[in-house]
Amino acid sequence: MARVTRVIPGLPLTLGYTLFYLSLLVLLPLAGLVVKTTQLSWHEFAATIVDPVVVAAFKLTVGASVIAAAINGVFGLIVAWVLVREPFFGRRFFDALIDLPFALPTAVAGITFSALYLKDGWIGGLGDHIVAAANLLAAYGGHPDLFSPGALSWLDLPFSNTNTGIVIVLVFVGLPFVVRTVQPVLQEWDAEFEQAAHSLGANGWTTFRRVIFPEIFPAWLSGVALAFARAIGEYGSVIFIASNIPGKSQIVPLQIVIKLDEFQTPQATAMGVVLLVIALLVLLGINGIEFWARHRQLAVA
Amino acid sequence: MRRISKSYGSSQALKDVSLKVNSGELVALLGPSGSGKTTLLRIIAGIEDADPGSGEVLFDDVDVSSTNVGKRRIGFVFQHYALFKQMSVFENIAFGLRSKPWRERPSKAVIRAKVEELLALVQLQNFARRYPNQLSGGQRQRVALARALAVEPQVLLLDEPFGALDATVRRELRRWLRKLHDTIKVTTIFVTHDQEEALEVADRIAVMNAGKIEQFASPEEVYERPANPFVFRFLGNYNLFHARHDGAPHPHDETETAAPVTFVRPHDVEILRENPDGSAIAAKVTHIGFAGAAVNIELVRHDDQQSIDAELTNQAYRDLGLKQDDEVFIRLRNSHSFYEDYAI
Repeated sequence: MARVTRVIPGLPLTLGYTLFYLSLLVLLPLAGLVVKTTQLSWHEFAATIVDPVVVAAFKLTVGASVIAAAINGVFGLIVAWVLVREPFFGRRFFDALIDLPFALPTAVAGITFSALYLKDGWIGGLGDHIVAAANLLAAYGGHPDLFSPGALSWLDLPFSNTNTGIVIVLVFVGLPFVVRTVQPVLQEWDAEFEQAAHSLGANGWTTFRRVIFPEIFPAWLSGVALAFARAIGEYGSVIFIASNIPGKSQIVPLQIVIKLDEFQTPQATAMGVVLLVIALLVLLGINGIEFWARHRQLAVA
Repeated sequence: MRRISKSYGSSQALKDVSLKVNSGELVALLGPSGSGKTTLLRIIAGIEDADPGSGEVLFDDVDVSSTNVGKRRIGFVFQHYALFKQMSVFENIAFGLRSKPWRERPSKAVIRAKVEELLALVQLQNFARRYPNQLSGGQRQRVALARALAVEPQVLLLDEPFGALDATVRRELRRWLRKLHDTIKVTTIFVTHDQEEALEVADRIAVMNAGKIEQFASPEEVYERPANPFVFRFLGNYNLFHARHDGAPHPHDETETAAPVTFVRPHDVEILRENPDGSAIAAKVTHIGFAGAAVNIELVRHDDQQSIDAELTNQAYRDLGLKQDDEVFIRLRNSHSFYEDYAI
């Protein structure tokens, strides 16, 4: 038997370390989660999950995460494209900025976003601010209250105090994933493929749709999946921007925290397990699509 | 297509190059790397633009300089094929037809028939559903060619078409290309740095050097009557004789003062056992390199110790019965003298 040359020396040790490390940090806590949940009877488990408040929370969490991942899918791709393909002043600066959502404590992001976008925020209450400023100017001219206070409220962003704010922060925390997965593929991209497509008469859109996108599709999909998984578990930023009304604007992680505060730990872990299963299913499904996309071209007809 | 004339004024890549290719011709752009041949090809294709205001590309007397690549009706084959990896061979070839605006797009049945026809032309009928990474280099090259031909180009442009292939496949493919060209008669321009390839395949060869076309003529003309020392040197091995004050390059040459350099191909060096009329040069065999069909002999002249390469056919070598250190006479059959101040 030929001796296999190993890149990393002492493989039994490194392998053992890897398994130990994964067990300690990932498998054990997850197992604990499941074990704790089994303290509930099947009936209690079902009762916890089908509670209308909890169901609403799940709908909101998954729905907002799907929308945020989709938005990141489109705009993250555009951002990655621009950062790779369009040389503009300050490109490196903006490139570095992309990682900020990774580094910024999400609570800070949540507070910042609520200060900006909620009804009394700079942007969220734009119409009211303009009205106030105009009235102030008019008062100097002797015409106080020139505009009625609600005259420009249609300028207030439509998502003030609604769940749209949740989607916005989720888009923020998920932005780097798509950009950072797609960017390297675009950088490796050989311009010859595009030139070939152009020389065959394909226009820009056709070239993108049929030549470039299929190439970046697997990376793009993993980026979207990561953004989704991140959004599902996001807590810190969302609780600041959401109004957190039970059954309307509470996300699952907040429900879990509430249950923990009420010392209903098994109920909290039950929700955690469901969230985990959703995230796993999504990642599994996306891996399946990637696998299919990669092996489709290897299948000999 | 009647005429491409192309003048392009640029400091480095191409210096006012003009080239007129006749319809249905197969032309090689031959030159060392950096001579601007690929740049010229890409400008003809429209992938790159000539310097503003420098010149124009004409197809059939129509200026296409400002026409987009896709509208020029050219077929471009890239050196590394640039086949679309995630598409099958069939989809690759059909790409050009499927990408047409829907008004001009042929029906599915027409596309299918056209692709089948092209697959037959490039002898890849059974490979339609394969993907590029399942093909050999030669097969990929043929797919790239079929893909370029699918849009029925006015001009077919090939960038180092056989550059990435091994020697055997290369020879096979270039004969095949010649035959293909004779069948489809589409005007073709290909870039190569391989003299043999250009000589064997092309109707005419444009020898390029440092952004200029040194000579544009038939392979025979280029080889037998090179316009200048560069062309001579580039097209094969050579012996170089400097006319010196102490002697003529060889005894036949009466113009030694006016001819600074004389070139002779190794196979034009004749080796004789005797010196019948006293005109041959005495030399000594210093090395014999057996290369199969040809035998390379290295000699040293007795008069000025200059070394000379000779190439004999296997037959001639055996007839002479040459051995190392044999004393022989050489005669130059076909020499070219250049009068210009060509820096060596």
